[in-house]
Amino acid sequence: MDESKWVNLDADEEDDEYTILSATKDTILFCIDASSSMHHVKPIQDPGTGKQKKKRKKNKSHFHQALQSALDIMKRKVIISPNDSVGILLFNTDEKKGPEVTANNYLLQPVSQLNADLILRMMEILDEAGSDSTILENKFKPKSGLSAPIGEVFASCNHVLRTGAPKTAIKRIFYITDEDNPGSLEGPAVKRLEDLAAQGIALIPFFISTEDRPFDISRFYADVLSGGAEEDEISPFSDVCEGFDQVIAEMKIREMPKRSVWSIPLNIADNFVIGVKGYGLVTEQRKPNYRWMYTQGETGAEVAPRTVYFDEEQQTETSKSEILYGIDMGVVRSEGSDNEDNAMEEDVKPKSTELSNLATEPSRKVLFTADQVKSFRTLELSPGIKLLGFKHRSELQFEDNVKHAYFIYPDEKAYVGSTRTFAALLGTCLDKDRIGIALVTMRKNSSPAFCREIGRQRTQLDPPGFHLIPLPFADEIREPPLTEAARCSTDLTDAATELIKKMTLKTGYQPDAFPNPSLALHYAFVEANALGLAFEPENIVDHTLPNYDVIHDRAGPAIQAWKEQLDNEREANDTDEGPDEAEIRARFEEGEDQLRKYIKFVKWVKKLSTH
Amino acid sequence: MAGKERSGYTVTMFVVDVSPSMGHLRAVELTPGPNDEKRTIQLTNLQWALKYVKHKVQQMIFTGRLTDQIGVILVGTEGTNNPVSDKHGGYDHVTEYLPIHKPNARTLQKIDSLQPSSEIGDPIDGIIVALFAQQQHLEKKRTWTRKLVLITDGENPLELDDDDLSGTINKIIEYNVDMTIIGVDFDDEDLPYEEPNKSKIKRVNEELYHKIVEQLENGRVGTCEYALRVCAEPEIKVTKSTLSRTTMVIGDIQTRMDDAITIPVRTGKATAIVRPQSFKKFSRRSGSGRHDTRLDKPLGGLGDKLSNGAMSAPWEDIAPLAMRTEFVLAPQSKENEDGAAENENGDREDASEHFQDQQRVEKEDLTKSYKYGSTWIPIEDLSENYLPTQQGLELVGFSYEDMWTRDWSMDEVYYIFADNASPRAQVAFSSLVQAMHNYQVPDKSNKGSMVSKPVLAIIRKVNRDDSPPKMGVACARSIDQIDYLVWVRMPFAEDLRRFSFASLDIIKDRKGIQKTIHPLLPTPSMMSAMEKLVDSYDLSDAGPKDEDGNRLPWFDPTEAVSPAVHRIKEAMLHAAITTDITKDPVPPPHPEITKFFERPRRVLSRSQGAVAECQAVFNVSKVPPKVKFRKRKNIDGLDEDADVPLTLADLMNGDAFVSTAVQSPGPSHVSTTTLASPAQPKSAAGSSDTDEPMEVDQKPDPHPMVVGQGAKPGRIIGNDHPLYDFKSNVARGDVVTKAVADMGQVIPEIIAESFSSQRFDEALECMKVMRDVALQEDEVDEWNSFLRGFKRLCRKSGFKHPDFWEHVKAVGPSLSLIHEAEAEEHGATSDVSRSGSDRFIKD
Repeated sequence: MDESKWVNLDADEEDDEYTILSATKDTILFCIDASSSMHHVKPIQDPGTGKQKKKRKKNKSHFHQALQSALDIMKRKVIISPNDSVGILLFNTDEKKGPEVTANNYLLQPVSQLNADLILRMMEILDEAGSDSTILENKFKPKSGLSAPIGEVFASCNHVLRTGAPKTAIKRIFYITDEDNPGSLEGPAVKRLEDLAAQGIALIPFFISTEDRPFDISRFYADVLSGGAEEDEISPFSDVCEGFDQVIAEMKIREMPKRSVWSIPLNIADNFVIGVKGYGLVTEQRKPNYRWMYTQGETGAEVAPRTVYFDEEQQTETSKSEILYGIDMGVVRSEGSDNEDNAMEEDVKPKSTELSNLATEPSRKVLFTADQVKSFRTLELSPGIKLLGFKHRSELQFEDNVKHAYFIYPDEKAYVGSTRTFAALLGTCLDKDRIGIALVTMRKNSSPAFCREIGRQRTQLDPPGFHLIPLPFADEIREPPLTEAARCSTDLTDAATELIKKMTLKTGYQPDAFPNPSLALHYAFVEANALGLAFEPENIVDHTLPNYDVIHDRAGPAIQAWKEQLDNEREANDTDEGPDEAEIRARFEEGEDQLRKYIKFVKWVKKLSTH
Repeated sequence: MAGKERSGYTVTMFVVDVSPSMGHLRAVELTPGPNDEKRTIQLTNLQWALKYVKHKVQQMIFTGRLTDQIGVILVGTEGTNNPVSDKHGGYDHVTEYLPIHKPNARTLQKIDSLQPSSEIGDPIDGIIVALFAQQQHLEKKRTWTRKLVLITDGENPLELDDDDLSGTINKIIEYNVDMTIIGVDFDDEDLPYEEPNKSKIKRVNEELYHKIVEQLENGRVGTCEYALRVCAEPEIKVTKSTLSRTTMVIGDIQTRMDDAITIPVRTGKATAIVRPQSFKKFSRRSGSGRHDTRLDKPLGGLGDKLSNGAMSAPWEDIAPLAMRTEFVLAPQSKENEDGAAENENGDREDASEHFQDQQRVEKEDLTKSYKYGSTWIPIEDLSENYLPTQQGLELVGFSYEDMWTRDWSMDEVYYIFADNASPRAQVAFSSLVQAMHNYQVPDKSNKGSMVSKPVLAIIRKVNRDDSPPKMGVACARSIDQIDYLVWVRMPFAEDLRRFSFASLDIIKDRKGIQKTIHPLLPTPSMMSAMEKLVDSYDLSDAGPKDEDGNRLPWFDPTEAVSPAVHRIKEAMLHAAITTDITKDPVPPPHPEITKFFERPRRVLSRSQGAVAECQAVFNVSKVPPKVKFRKRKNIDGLDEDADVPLTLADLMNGDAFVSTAVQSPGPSHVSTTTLASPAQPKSAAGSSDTDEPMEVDQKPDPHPMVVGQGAKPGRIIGNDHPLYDFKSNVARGDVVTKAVADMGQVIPEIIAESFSSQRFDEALECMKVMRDVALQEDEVDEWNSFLRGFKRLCRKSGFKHPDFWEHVKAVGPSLSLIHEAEAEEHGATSDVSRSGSDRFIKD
């Protein structure tokens, strides 16, 4: 059967999601303080024992690190979401640069879609600086004396974004400074910030606080950032970052604009409905696919694939809205193609008059419209989460998984009271160790699924809310195909326990420890091609490989002990069936295919001997 | 209960009684009409009973196995034509209608065309003929399963002696035939059903059929109604996972072979996503000129409404569609629509319609390229862009199960077994699994003793050489006679989005002081109401009772079939079976499909009190799709959701409004505004039904109403002539609540729209009328909450005409909150005192 001829109405929902997330453009304007304190390089602490000459690694200034972070983000964005825009504005420079900016503002990179040249230019600047931050201080000479008026800085940001950012983009300013008291007037700053907000531009502050130079938010920014806020309102600003490492960590969190995948009602009971938003917190970050480019013209042009449906016999196109959906009946219309069919035709000799007029009824085919097909798939449920009841947390099995979870968080804008209700529900579930069972229809076009809602309390990293875990349906659960196997003695289990003891990590699984090596390789590949640099795949470290040295160091003796015990196991060795491990290993060296062949061979021998 | 059926290598003989009595008409219930009215259709008993046969046949067609075959024997035909008669004579009025074959679409058509005859036939003769034909066909295929289904109404006397009967029964036993007797209106305890005024003949026959099956190992008699019901039940297809061979490795087998461990293992899926079967695409042929008249699609009328556009068309008027992918130059303006171009399989349909008029290009002229910002990077050679890897499972380490984050599981789950051919591998593997399962650590609180702390294995999985590695964790399973692991994929660093969300239980004001009372925080009474609700929603005893009368739990994944998969199957089956889709549309979903769509009855009944309490204390109200004024401050866009970018209008005009219908990122402070009055009435929630997300229990307002000029979607009051719209809608009497609610939204909008103070007087007039109506029609809460919100809005920085409130103030108490005394006069209530109302307007 030619699969491609089939309707792909149930197009992968994951794909849709991916599209939603990448469809909106994001714009980031880095607004970096270039005052002399930002250029300050912390002297390396005297190592004391002069003998141990560690790597001569110079400390870098905050300004230097800020530019480096901006470049890192640019390098990722240019590949993952090539349509996003980035700009860099410095303030508190001696020089003014850029038509849209006010005095002591320096537009290092206007807001625009990225390209190879822009990346190269930034790389050059940073290469030039190397490990010597003073070079940057000379290049972007800080203004002497007081800080430039912050209101003016905000105004510059506004103009820069207005000039460069696509109209429909999400616009954000990454504002980096270590000066908690710029000595500007609060009033104009508040006003300009309001102007930014009116344009839908969000300001995300990264306040660098160090031991030597603690950042006291209450001195200036608290009032500016919450200017005009009502008494009751929640404090809108984030805390300060302790050191630049925290800036980088925080920036990583903010690198992708937070976007929900849907906003739907959560029906807790009849007439007791709140609003929630769903987020894909765990979503596979895929390699961007290659695209087709038309290369015959003067300049390359992007090409889009277009799917055409047509009547094969008459070669006429059918527009999508006119397509009808029917079942496949297992036969083609042309008569007599099937021998068995013909035989049947001939054999049927009905003699009664009623039966002889078989063929008079013309056969008809039932066809459905796209809407009907959709109603079958959605069961005519509208998007929403319906809470069905609760079970004990222990009922969630490891095996109950088919796809990634969704995180839900209250949406006060859809239903007033959502937050307090959600908070009460979450708190109660956590106190009572309960998980919810819900019927979920995520989008207009999606099929219903049953989900478990597991609550999560806010910890350092985990956001507060429920995770919706789509459960497998009965049709999707497979029984273990094997039910019997030889087992070991407790001696071998004890040996294995010793082995585990040596190989147990202090933490649980940490995603941060495992960057995707295929993705890293892809980035390097595209970047090398784009910037005309050499592609050096051998430089990509695959962090998913076990740390062999540590394993053999720590667990070497335990492994040996286990292997010796395995040789003593009666169950393992008293049959002539199965290949000996040593032999397998020997064969393994010759390659996988050899191993397979060998195993096949062993099975064959076994078969012979049993007969 | 959804059934599981063994399949394949089967010959099913259908013996169908077409005697004249089968022509009796019966009223069969159809899908209820649009207003839930009962509808029936007149069918002959034969037509009705044949549904069962067609159902079975269609299911075989779907599975499409060559080894699922059927034959049809008719009993009661006017003539006689069957192999037994040919050989031995006798067996009159029995016809071998369809010889044994693999069923197809025409089989169904032929079954459809059967009609009752004028002769009486003997079903036992039919059975004998069927057994004979089956035996002939399967003589050399001993392993095949034999099934025989008799369809009869049992109304005609059977001519048989005991010898005949026992001979037949012996044959059935000898051939090991699975026998099913489907009787039209037979008595059946399972349904249960008992036919009134049953004829004596039928009673005798029914008893006889029961006697027959009692002597069989695999035999049953049932009434047709029940059989039809059972075959409509969703059937779960059991798939056995195929296992693939690989190795599990601990340590470095490349260079330190002797110090490493290698165990041959097999992996296979433990869960696997099942997607609904696809429909095939067709189009109606144009040009034949006939399709308009011959398409069986009534224009309007009951049938059309019911079938909702479904139609049956003659074969020659429809054409199956083929698909091809073309390439067109992407329009410049659409350049940003990544989604359309992103998918390399070309099946992206969104692109198709957009690019209809674009210039076509040939594939030969295209080059694969990656986008690097605005730079295009043509890549001729992709061969370098992969990571060399080796197939296998590598153990990275172990970690405690209680430190594992369950909601990180990304995909389907896999089994890992030791190689089933190698006892040595099995022993080796079982030691690891058991050790993981039974892992213990010293108990900190009780020196010297141990406490159980199972561990998970962190395993890197590579499916084939050079395919990308995946990380995952595996959990130990030790059941009856086997130890194995279950593995699930975990995210890479890049797969995890660490968005920030505000705490739900700690709220600080701008001075950094933590608030204990806030509209966003639940109060102790809310917590206690919620606790009652959660307790009453307990599913552990909400299911059906077992034999001992104990309540079973409600819901388990193994009992829940996939609604989409089975609903589509139902529709397909119906499409194959029905003779007229317009009169006989697809019936509602089988209860088995929707059995977990509603909360269990037990939960519903015991939660009533808790639900009422929650409704009262939480006081949730839907935010109407109302005007949202431009936000004035948005400090950190990340605390807001930047779901959809602002529209052009937003950027051009600071005072422009964006209704939620256009999905702007709602300004956060609108909610804060409304929040401050938690006593907002519910009426606002019930009246707007244009908002995209579902309102689970809301029915759209059935009354047609006057929709004013310039009305926003879902509103009946327009922004052009609100006063007029309001008065005429109020005059109708039935949409007062909606009118008042809409007016409350329109007034702030016209102020915002007002050029200078142009519309101030109109707005004041609107307010006066609105207040009067609110007072008379018991919409006091609506008015008061409107006015509170409006006042706050006017005073918010950024509101275009902050001076408008001064105009309201100038009118004085007659435009203030409706107070108790006033409300009482009109038979309504208010929680505002007279002095409170006065203060409100003076302030």
